[in-house]
Amino acid sequence: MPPAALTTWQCPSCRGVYPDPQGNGQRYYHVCPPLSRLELLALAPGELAALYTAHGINPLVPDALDELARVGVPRVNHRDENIDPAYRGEILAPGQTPEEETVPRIAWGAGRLVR
Amino acid sequence: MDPMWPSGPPLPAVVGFPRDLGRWGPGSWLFTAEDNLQLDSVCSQSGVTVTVNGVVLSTDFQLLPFSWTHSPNSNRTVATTRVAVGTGWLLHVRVLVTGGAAKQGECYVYLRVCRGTTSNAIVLATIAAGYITTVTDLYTPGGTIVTSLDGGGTVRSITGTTPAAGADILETVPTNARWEVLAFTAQLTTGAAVANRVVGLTIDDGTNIYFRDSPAFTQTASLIDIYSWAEAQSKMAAPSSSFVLGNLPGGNRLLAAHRIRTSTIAIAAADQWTAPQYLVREWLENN
Repeated sequence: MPPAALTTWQCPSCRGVYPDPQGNGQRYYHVCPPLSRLELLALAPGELAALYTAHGINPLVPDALDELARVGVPRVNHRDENIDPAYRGEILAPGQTPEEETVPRIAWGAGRLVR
Repeated sequence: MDPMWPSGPPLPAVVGFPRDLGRWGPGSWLFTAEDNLQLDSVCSQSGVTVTVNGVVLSTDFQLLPFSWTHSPNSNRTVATTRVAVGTGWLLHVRVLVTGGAAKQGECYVYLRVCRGTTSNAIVLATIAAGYITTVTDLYTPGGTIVTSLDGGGTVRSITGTTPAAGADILETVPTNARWEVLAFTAQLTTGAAVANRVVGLTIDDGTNIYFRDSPAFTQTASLIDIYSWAEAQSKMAAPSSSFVLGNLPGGNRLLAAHRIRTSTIAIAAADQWTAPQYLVREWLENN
């Protein structure tokens, strides 16, 4: 089987770039990372303070911002291309090809762009 | 009345089918007109076609061969096909990949008996189950039932997402997969901003971190270093100045939605991770 044609995508939510499908033909499921240290730093002070409180992190300790980034704060329009675990598959007639793009995903986010 | 065999309802749907034949017939898999053969597949490879070949011995002792195909999904979700195979005993059946290039561990099938053909069909029994390829078939009689978590799985090398500048890496175990992460590597290029970056790797269950590793190495401005984590790797000093070694838990098993992430202390706006390249052993896990 020849290598699958590589298409590179960019996620408008996190700006991440990824190949789907992979070179061996298997699908890749992109998931946005949580807000980075720098994105957290750009939040309004009150919003950041609320996140510290919500995650039980003392903002006065060294590396508090790094710890908050490590714990993980989801971004707006978070994209998770993984199949919804509640999806239970489909019934196919013999020889029928499945329509995989209709399978529900966990979160579509802001879509994706060919890059 | 035979005390060993409590009487039940006759077999009204099968005209001319002597009841004793049903009891003492040549095989254990007796199909009436209401029973169907069901194939459930879970597959991670695209373009795969599965063919089911077999023979039924009819009630008038004719051999009735059958052959049909099934197209699994490539996203590890269950695809089901139900086919009527007539009335009689299933003598033998073989299930094999006949299209595409699924390697061992990439296409798992159940061969079952069910009653009905719609989503309300009732599965009565599992005849055989296991991974199949173009040469490794699933068959009966004589075949076994192997769960999708048995055996060595398949090994995959995956290219992940290149994060935006100043952001860390995140990779997720796909739905209906179970991973053992064997190796994970990526390169960090630091910008001119003066700071001591300390890279760590965390693994979590989607929310809660259960593993952290940091190679105890400080990367300063304007450098390019390659970080490489592996199972049971000796955490010695970097063999060369641009390689940094870290550990992964030995024999780890990550369920679907578990995440592998870098966490870079003091990461700066111009710092850039490459896409991670990682090696996993994968089992299909259909819930």
